[in-house]
Amino acid sequence: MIVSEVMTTRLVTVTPHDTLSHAANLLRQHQFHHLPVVRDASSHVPWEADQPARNSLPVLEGLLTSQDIDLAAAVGTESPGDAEHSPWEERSVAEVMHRSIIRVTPTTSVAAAAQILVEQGLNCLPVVEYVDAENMEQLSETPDFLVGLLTRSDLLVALARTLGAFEPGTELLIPLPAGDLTPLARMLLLAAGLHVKVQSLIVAPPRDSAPRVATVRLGTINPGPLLVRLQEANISYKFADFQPESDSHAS
Amino acid sequence: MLHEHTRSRTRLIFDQSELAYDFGAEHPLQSRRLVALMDLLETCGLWKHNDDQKQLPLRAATVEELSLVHTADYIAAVQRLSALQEPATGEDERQDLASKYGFDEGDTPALPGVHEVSARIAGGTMVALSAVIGLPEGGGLSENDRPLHVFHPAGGLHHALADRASGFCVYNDIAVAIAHVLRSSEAKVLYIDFDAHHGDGVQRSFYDEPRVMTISLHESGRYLFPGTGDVLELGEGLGRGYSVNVPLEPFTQDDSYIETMNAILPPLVTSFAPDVLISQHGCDTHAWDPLTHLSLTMRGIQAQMKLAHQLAHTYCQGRWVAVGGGGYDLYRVVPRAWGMLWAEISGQPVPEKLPEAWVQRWKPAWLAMEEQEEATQQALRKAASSVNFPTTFQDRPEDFPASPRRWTITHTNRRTIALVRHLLVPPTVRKAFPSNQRLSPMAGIFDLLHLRGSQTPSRSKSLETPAGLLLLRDFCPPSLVERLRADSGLHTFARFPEREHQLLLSIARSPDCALTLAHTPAGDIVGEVTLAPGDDWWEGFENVYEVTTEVSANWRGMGIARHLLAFALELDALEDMILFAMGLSWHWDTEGLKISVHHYRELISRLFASQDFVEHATTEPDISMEPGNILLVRVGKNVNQHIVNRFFNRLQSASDLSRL
Repeated sequence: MIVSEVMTTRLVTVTPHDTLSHAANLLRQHQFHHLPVVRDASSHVPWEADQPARNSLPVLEGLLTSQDIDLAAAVGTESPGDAEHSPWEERSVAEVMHRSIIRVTPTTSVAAAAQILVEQGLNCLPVVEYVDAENMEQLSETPDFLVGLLTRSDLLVALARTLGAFEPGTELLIPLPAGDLTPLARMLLLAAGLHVKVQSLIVAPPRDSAPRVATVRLGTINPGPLLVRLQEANISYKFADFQPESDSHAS
Repeated sequence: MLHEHTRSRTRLIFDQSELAYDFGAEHPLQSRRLVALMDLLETCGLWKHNDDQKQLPLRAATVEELSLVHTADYIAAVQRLSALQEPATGEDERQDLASKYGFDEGDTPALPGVHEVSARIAGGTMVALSAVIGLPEGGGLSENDRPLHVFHPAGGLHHALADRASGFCVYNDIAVAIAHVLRSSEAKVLYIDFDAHHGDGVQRSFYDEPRVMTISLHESGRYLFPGTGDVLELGEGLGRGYSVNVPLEPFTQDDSYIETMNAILPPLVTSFAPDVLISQHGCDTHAWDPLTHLSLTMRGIQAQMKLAHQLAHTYCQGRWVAVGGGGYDLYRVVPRAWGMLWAEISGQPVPEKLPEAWVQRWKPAWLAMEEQEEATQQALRKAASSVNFPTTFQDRPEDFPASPRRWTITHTNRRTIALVRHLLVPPTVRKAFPSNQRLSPMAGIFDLLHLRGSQTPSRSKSLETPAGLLLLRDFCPPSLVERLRADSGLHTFARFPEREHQLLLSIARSPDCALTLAHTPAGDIVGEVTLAPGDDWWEGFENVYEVTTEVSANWRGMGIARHLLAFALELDALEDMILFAMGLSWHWDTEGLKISVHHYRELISRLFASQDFVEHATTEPDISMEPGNILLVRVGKNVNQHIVNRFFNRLQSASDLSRL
C-alpha cells in the first residue's frame, strides 16, 4: 500500500501572507488541525507543457498547525503593550509556520510513512512531488509541489478499511499453530468452492508469545455451510467462542 | 391492556406474490416459512384469508418511492438483473452488475423478477406504515376504519443498503416506509429491531436524522454479520443520540435478554416520544436458529412483542407496524413466533397446542432438512438440540438447559446496559427508570443529605415572581406530585407535559432521588431540581451526586432556576458532598429560547456558578463528545482531600468505556 492510495487530496491551504486570524478561522470552520502553506498563485513556477497537470499544482512553503496559532496567541497576550509585536490575529502565517518539515512522496509506502509519524511524534505529513533538477536551471531552489496530505486519521481510515470495517461481514479466526499456513490455505479453498467472498484477511506477526492467528472477514451472513466443511476437514476455527467479549477487550 | 376496539382495527398484509422472494431450497431464506405461517394462522382460526376486515391490500413501491432510500443506479441495476432471464444472454453484464451491487450466489442471488417482488414487499411495508398514520398511501380508509396495528410478515429486509444488496435483502422496505412518512408528515418514527443481526441498513439510512430513532438489539458484531452495531454508533450531526445499539453476548438467554430490553427501551422511548412505532421481529434470536448464537426461547421472543405492543399504546397512541425479518429455523420457529405475534397484535389468545393437522403437514419438511440443520448447529458451537418437532406454541424449558457461562454473559450484558443508558438516556429520564442493579444506600436519601438531623423533612418556601407567587418545596413526596400537574412549557425531557409529569412522579417515588419543585398555588409545576447519586460512570464514590434542573418555557427569565437551585441545595451535608451537573447540548431547548448553543452554555454555567459550581474539563464520554457540552462541579469544603483527588482523577481518566 502506498501513500497516494490513502492520502487526502482535497486540500484547504493558506499562503504565507495570510493573517493568522484567517488561518484560525479556516481551522475552526473545517475542524482541521493542519494547514499546508503554499506559494500564492501568481508566483507559480512555469512548467513543461507535456505535464500540464503539474502546472496547476501549488508549491509547498511550509505547514501551519493549530498549536502554532495557540502559541502565537498565548505570547500575544503575555506582552500586550509591546510595540514590536502586532496583535496575534494580524501577524502573518509566514512568521510562525514550519518551513523545514518532513515530507513524503505519493509512492512512499504507507508502512514507512506510519513509522515516520510515530517515531517523530507527528500528526501530519505533506505529500509532495519533486521536480527533476535538470529542468530547474533557471531557479535557485527546487520547488516541492504539494499533491496531498497524510494525517493520522487517513491512516486510521486505511486501517479500518483493511480490517474490512466498512463492509458488512462475518469474522472468523483460524489459528495457525507454529506458523503453519496450511489450515488457512485449505479454508480459503473451501470458501472459494462455496462462493463465499473474503473481504479482508490478516495474518499479523505474533506479539509476545501469542499464537499466530489469521483473521478472516467473510462477506456472508450465512457462514454455516463453510463452518460445516471446516469441521468435516478437521480445520480448527474460532467463531463466537466461549470466552466472553469483555475478556478479549481487556488484553 | 387490550381494548375491544383495537381487535377490530388490526390488519395483516400478505400477498401470494410475495412468496416469489425465495432463494431456493439450498438457501437459508425460503418463502415456504410464510406458507407454513399462513397455514398455521388459518388452522388455528387466528386469521381467515377471506375476511376483508382483517387484511390490507398491498401495491408495489414505485421507482420514485424506492429512490427515497436507494440510489438510481442501484435500482436500475436491480431492474436490469431482474429482467436478464437466461445466463446465456449477457452473462458478462450480469456478472459485472451482480458483483458491483452486492449480489452473489451465496447470500443474495439476483433472481429473475427480483425487482418486482422486492418492490412489492417494500410497497407492503409502506402501505402498512402509511395506514396507521393515516396517509393516503395506506388505502385512504376513513378515520374509523383506519387500522391501529398492521403486521406485514414478508417485510423486514433491514440489511439492504442505499446502493447495494446485502444479507438476503434487496430493497430496504423499512427504510422506504419510514422515509415516505418523513416526507409526507410531521411524525417522529421509532424503529425497534429485534433481529439477531444488527439493523445496519435502516440505521445507515437515518444516521443523521433526529426524527427517527433506530434501536437495534442484536448479537455482538465481534464475529457475527454484519459486524457493525457497537454501542458507540450513536448517530451523527443532528442525529447524534438517535441511533441506539445494544450488542448482546453470543449465547444470551431469555432472562438476560428480557432484563436488557426492559432496562433500555422504556426510558429511551420516553425521552424520544415517537408518534409511531415500527418493529422488526426477526426470530433468528431463537436457540434453534442455524445462523446466530443468541439462545432465546419463545418466552423471550414473546416478551419482545408484548413490550413493543405496550410501548405502542403508551407512547404512540397505539400506532404500530410489525414486520418479519430473519428466522431460518423455517418450520419449528418462524410459524410459531410470527403466529404468536399476530395473536398479540390482534388481541387474540395464543392457543397452547399447535394443531395436530398442521404438525402433520409441516413436520416432514423439517425432517427433510434436520440432518443438515444439526450439522450447522454444531459448527456454530451451539448446544446440540436433540429436540423433536414442537407440539406447543411455547417452548418447553427443559429443552433449553441454562448455559454454564450464564453468569458471565449476564454480567457482560449488564455492562452494555449501563453504557447504553449512560450515553443515550437523559439523566432526568434515567432517574425515573432506575436500573435494578445498583440499590440505594442503606439509608434514605433524606437522612444521607441531612447528616446532622434537620428538623423539617420537607420544607416549603414562597417566591414572588413578576408572573405571580410560586411555592418551592423540597423532598417532594409522591402524593404531592400526584396532585400537581406539569405546566405546558415543561417538556424538555419527555416532549409532552403529561409525560414529564409521569417522569417527575417516578423520580419522587425513587428512594434514590430528591426532588425539589416550584409550582403555582393553582398546582402547575413550573420548575424542578433533582438530586441523585451519580450513575455507573461514578461508581466507587459515595458522596458524588448529580444535579439536574429544568424550568418551564413559559416561566423563563425570572430567575426562578437560580432561586430553586439555591433552595434545593440548602442541605446539611452540602459541604460533605461533591455535586456535579452535566449540560448536554442535544437536550437544550435552544430553538425555543432562540439562542445559540454557546449562549445556552453560558446561561447554564452562570446559573450553576451562583451555587459555586465550577466548569471542569473531563474525558467523560458524553461531555467530551460535543464541544458545547459542559461539566460543572461543586466540591464541598469538608470533603476528604483524598476523595477529591480521586474524583478529579476520574474526570480525566482515560475514557475507558469498557470499564462500565
